[in-house]
Amino acid sequence: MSNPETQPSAQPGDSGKEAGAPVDRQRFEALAGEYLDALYGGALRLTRHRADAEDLVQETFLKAWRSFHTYKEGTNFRAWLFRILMNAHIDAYRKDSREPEVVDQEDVGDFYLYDKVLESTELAGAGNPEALLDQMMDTEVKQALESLPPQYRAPVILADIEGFAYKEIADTLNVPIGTVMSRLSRGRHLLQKRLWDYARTRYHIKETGN
Amino acid sequence: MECEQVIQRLWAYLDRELDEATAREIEAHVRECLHCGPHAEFERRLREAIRTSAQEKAPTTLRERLARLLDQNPEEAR
Ligand SMILES: [Zn+2]
Repeated sequence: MSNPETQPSAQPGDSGKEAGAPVDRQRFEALAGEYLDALYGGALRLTRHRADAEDLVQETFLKAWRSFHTYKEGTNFRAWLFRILMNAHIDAYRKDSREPEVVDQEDVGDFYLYDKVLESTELAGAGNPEALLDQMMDTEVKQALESLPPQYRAPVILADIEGFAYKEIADTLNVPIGTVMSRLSRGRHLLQKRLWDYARTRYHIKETGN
Repeated sequence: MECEQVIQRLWAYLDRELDEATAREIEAHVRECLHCGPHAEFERRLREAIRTSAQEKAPTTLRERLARLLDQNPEEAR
C-alpha cells in the first residue's frame, strides 16, 4: 500500500539511521493516545456497537502505526487518523451488507427543529426555544445520530462532533467537496427530524401535518 | 445583506467556511437582527448539544490492547 522508501522523512532529532524506532513509538503513542477517545467515539457512532467500535479503532491504530512514516509532520494528525478510520470502516462496510439501503424522503429546511419549536403551541409558550435543547438527552442524540444512513452519518460526525472543515471531510471520505456539503446538509436535516420526533414524544405534541 | 441571504449562509458561517469579509458581515447582522440572531443562537446550541452528547471515553481495556499491539508489531512490520 505505502512505500516506505519514497518518504522524504526529515524528523528533528532523527539520527539519520532507520533505527529511530523507540522514538517513533513514543511519538506515535503520544499523538494517537491523545485522539483515542475521539476515534473511539467516531467508531462507535459509525458501527453502533461497542465491540465493532473497538475492532475498528484497533485496526485504525495498527494501520496508522504501520504507515506512520507517511504522516507529514506539521499536517493535521487527527484528520490523518480519521481518514484511516473512515477507510477501514468503508472497507468493512463493503464486505458486509447489514446496513439498510437509503430511502430518500422529502427534504426539510436548515432550521427545521427551530421552526418546529416556534410553530408548536406547546413549546412556544415556554419563551425560549433553547429549552428544548436543554431537555434533550444524550441517549436521544446518540440514537438520532446512529439512525442516520451511513453516507450521511459520516459527514455529520466529522463536521459536528469533530469540527473538521469541508475540505478535510472531503479528503477523509474521498469524495468531492460538493458531495460533502450536500450529504452534510441532508444528514443534519435528518438528524433534526429525528430529534424533533423524540421531542414530540417527550412533550406529547400531536403531529399537525407539516 | 438581507435576512434571507443571511439565513442561507448561516450554516456555512457557523461552519467557518465563508471568506472573512462575508463572515464579518453576517456576524454583524446576526448580532443586531431579531430574526437571524435567534436562528444562529439555536443552531449554535444545537450543535453544542450534539457535540457534547456524543463524547465517549475509550475503554481502558482498549488502551491496553493497543499498547500490546505495538509490542507485537515493532517496526519490522513497516
Ligand atoms: Zn436578519
